[in-house]
Amino acid sequence: MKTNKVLLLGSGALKIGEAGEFDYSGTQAIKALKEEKIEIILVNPNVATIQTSEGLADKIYFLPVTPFFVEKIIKKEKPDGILLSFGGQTALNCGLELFHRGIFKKHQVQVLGTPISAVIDTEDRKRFTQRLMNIGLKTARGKAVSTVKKGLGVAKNLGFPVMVRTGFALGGTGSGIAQNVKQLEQILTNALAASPQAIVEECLTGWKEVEYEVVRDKNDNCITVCNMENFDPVGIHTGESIVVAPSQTLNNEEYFALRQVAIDTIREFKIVGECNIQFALNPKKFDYRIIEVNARLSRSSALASKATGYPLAYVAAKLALGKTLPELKNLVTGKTSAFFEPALDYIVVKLPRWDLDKLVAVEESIGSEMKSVGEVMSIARTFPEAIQKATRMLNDGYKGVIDVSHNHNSQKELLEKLRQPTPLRLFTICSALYKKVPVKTIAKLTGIDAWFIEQLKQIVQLFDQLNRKPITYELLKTAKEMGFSDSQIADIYKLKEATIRNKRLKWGITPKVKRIDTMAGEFPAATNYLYMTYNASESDHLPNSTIPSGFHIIPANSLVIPAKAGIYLNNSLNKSGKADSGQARMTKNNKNNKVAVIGSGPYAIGTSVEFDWCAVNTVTTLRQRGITTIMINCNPETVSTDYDYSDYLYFEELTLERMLDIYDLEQAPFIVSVGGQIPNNLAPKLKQRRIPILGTQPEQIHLAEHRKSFSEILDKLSIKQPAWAKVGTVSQALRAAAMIGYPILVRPSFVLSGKAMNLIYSEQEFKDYLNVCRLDLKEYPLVMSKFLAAAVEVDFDAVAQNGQVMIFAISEHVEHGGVHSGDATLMLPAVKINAHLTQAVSDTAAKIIKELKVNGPVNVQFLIYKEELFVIECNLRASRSFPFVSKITRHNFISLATEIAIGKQVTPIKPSPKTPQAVKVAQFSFRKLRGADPVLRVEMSSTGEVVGFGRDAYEAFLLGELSTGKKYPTQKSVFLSLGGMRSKLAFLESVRELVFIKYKLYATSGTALFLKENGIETIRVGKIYEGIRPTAIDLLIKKLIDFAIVVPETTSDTQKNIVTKSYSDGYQMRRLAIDLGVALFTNIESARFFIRAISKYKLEDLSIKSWSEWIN
Amino acid sequence: MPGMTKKYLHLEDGTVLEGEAFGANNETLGEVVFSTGMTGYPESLTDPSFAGQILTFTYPLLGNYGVPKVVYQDKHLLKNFESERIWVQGVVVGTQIEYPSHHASFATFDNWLKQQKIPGVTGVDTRALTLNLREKGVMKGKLTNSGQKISWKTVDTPGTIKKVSHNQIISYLPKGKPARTIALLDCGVKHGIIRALLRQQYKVIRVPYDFDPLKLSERVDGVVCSNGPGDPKDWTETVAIIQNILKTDLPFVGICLGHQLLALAIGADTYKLPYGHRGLNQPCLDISTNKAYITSQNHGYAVNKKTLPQDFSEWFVNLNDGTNEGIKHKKKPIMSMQFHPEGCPGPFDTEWVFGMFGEL
Repeated sequence: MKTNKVLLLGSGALKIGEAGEFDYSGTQAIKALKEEKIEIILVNPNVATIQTSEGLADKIYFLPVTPFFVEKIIKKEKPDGILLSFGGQTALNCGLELFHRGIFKKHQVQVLGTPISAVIDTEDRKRFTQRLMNIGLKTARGKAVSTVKKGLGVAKNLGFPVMVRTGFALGGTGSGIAQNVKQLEQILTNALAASPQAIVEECLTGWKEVEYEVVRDKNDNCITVCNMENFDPVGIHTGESIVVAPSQTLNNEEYFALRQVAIDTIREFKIVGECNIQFALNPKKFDYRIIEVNARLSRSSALASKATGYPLAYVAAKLALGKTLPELKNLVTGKTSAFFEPALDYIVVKLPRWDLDKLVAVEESIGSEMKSVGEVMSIARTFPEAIQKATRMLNDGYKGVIDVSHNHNSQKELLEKLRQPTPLRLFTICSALYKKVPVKTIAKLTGIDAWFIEQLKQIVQLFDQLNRKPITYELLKTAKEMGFSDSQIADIYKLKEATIRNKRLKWGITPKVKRIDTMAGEFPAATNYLYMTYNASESDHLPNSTIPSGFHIIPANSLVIPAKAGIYLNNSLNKSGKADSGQARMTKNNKNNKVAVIGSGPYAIGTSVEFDWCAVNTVTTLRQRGITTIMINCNPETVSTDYDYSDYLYFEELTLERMLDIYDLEQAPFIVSVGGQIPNNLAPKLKQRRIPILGTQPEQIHLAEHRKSFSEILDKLSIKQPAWAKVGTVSQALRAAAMIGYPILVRPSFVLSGKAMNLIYSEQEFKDYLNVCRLDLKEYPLVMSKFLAAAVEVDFDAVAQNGQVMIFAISEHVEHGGVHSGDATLMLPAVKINAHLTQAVSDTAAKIIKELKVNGPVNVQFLIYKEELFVIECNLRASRSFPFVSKITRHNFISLATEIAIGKQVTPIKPSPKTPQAVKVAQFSFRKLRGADPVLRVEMSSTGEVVGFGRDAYEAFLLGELSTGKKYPTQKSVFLSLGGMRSKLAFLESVRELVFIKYKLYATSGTALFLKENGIETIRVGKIYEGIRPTAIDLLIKKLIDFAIVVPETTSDTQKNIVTKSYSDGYQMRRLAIDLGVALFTNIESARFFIRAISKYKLEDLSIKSWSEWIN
Repeated sequence: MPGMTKKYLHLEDGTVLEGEAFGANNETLGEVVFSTGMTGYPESLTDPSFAGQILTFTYPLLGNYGVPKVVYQDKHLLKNFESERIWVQGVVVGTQIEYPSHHASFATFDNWLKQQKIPGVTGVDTRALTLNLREKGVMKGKLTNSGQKISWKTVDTPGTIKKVSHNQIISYLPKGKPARTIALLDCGVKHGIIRALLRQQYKVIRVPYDFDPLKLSERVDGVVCSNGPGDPKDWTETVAIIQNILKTDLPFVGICLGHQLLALAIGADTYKLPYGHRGLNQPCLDISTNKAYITSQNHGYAVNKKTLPQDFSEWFVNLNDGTNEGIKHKKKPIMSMQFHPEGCPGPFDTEWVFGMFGEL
């Protein structure tokens, strides 16, 4: 049967474990389907993705990827096929549920690709094990038990040591390795106290973890596209692990034996498309276990695609449509077959990016659960070069694997740290090597193969040499080959980065550009997927044929200007008075009609797929205008690093050094305004070296970012701003705080773990804060500003040309100021602020934009406090909400900004009065972050976002909330714990609303008493230690409620935790709700909004409308 | 690294690549070829088909898992290498790994080469070298200890390569009762082929390349002609023997060189590929079933499919470049394949062909 119309399920918001990789796989699937002229209906509420952009799918539903909504869409759209494997576990689970409900059968929808039976069997542990056992393959042996006695029996069969795991346990208790009966009894007793079941299985700790990406077509043709080896042993989640491709420590026998098992497995389950197989491999003799099979595209498959150049998702989509592998072409060479296994002539290293510092109270160890929020991938021709590049890609302040701050630890401290894996493990190992801890010892303590440690040791040894010897040609060359950066070497010699660079160029030590061709040079590539390495003598790619490659060519641009630290920009700007305009640059310096776009780097809290959307839209617009595009990025979870999207893709570190290298080669001006903070921070450094930047100039960026200069501009324009001060001593700090008046918002200029931005409510609190954080105020002054409580926050996103606003959108926050704009719920168009204020917002923003002569994207943040407008921030770059405002207003802000960057005159676009009501809702991943307090704060903690459309903001918000995983209430039962009188009062009306719609109310003592005084009866529950039953815990565990509202007294409650390290009842209730998967509100405004929404809309009432239906 | 001894690879086209010496310190000469396999260097280096060649690996790290201790499965049959010695003339790598890590590692790559008196050069941009060979075709090369240019006029080509064949008749017995007896024409056979035949429960009688197995006193159920080095047209004795065998009704299977020799024996032609197929990822399609397989390959010559006689048809085709990968007699049990169904190194996708004697 020919398939004409296909429903494609996306993965929804980015969350830990399901991130940008599914935007990449979905986008590739769309491309593959479009080529076959198939009508595509996409369901994905994630507004920031590329796949939900115009011109890709035929119809997009920004609706929850849940059975309820997908069924409605099926009824409406009547597709004849559905794809479940491109939207992560979210799409797969939704598909399974629909299958079990018989929806596909009922509506005659064919599941394309892997048969659903295969999905069921790979997801069901028991069936999975059984089927593999039937064909003689090995899986980890073990059993779930509910009593200690049964557990001992299982262990007896397996033999010690055994591993005990629990499905759910507070604070990670209950898992562990038992060496003997006594230990097992102990561990099981604890485990079964916290959880009804525990799994006792054979202990594979210390085994290697290896993955294969396997592809199969309907004719049973199979290939393994890539194998990858985890640097970390079994026991560390592969998402938490450093991963290398191809495997480094497997011999031919192991490599191909596991390959065969992988192929036997995919054949057994009759998967059509792609699957990922994870193995444990015994390091002592040949033996293996299959740990897991993912019958869908995964994070690993995205990594494998980038690591090899083999477009797994694209091919999987073609196979799902019934194509066969031999029919398909290798897209990289354009000539050879897609039925082949890529040969790599380079090494790939993936490092996870954690962001635990941004969270309060989170556990810092890493283990079997994923906590990382992003990843980077580095390509080089040796392991030392690859891993050092990767550390810089993290954008976490590391210049390489040697972090001098760790070298202060004693050997003993280091040995202790090695036992407990944390995100800093790599650096700890290198410090241990520096302290002469033997490779064997480290390998033993960490379970990491000695091969990797030996490789790291080479770096450490060279670091040692650099510290002892003067810099020579040989030494510098070797250092570069070992992946040392100029700035890292400069630090060692106490020189400036530019000095090392100049020396290097004088000596002719330059990186070479190599191409990824999937076939190790056997066939030429038709694409330009590039990386740079010092372990090479020739470049594959030489863009400027007039400049010969190789030795003794010293490009003028990077030589002359020495790096000056500090605030040089003020002077240069004050002298000239105005900044260069981008257009001049474009024509003057860009004879070869090329533009380089700097991407966003790794996803982290605050930098996510929205910036990839911006980068992709920039290169797409440039290409449409006939400009040769160069994309630079290092994040394998992105669409921008798909070699199809740009003319030249440099999969490279986003450091000044590399940008200069690329500029020397390509001579292309940069666009720095679409990739978030990393390119933004590179801008002044590039400008300082006279490298042309298109659009808004770094001098202007500096004016907006530098607190004092921006403040002066606001004063000059008579625009209000919250009172602020910058202080360098404790007494100054306290004095300034008193003058400003509490509450204050403090922001240290040097960010320390969990202590970045904070709200302080009283002098005592401030004293405690200063005392505990021990900030070096002299070195890193503290900026504090007046916190305007209960103010409405507004985001103004715009694109301007020569200081004139060309397009803008105003979004209003649901939560009051004090919640980071990345975590806040945004309403577009604004709902509650009146026309007068809206006008004031755009007028004020226009003034600032004019003054700063903005020439590109811009975002201004306002607070409306007592009907007055205060400006709190201004960013002269694309903001997080650009895809959101672009998709709602249906004007591509980034396209416009790109046209401005290349000097095209654009005409202003008036906001349409017919803009539909949309609400952007943040997605949090607290459940994965053990211990983290799930409250909204001034510091961002969300990992993704979704959009909801609606007839009004309530419907839109409700759909958004449902898209982030909340369920529409079914029990009509709520738990309330409102800290402080302010929140109690603020919430009274909403409680009345709940009473009106006949909800059953549970409340903690204080809240219950308050409500009783106000004539509302509730069922009183005990706080955790009050001894009153039922307790809050009972409610949560028995799931007696639909959702919980647990509001801290002030947001400073959570900050107290940082200071005192003691956890309040509120914290414990919030955390338990998260751990048990009970919907939780911690913010009064969003809780009120939700209650209003559910009282207004029943689930059945919600609109099933596509994007185009909303827009037109 | 500073302070290491230099080694130079000179190419016929005048290119000189500098690197650091490892392995033995002698100089050597050979045809420079590249392999794209990412694993299996102990297997590759002991593959007799590489005799006379200087081998470069496109994968930049070599020696990661060291070199295992030699294990004999039988007298004259190794379990974990493809023959008793290294056959390549020299090795060119990106980075030679000094500290391997593997439970089976017995020696470092460097020590193994030293012990086998094979020179190596490390620190070479093997990708640049590969692209050069791809563009210009494989060429002669010399590994020297001096960077001084050499005159190619005086350089001889490597000597005869038929020494790769064992000069005795050797019998191998499988575990248990042999199902069949197979004669194996040894043109430099990889032990992997013998092991694969034994796994099929065949008794294997390995005979020298110039020995007609029909002269064996023992009755054989079929003949396999092995892989081997060089130009198939140099193996005239073996071609003549194959022609004899074809006159009988004995099943015949040719592997790699054996495939080319069968082609020559039936009157088809062979030609030299510009840079050969050497790697573990070569895609081949079985034309008769439309099924595709990933294969291990090591050959510089190919069969010209246009010259096949009428009673033969193309069996396998290379999906990358369309070259012939196997032929089959339309009626009789005579067939051959260009790839290595035994893997070693490489995948086992096509190991089923060894079972075909059972069906013939």
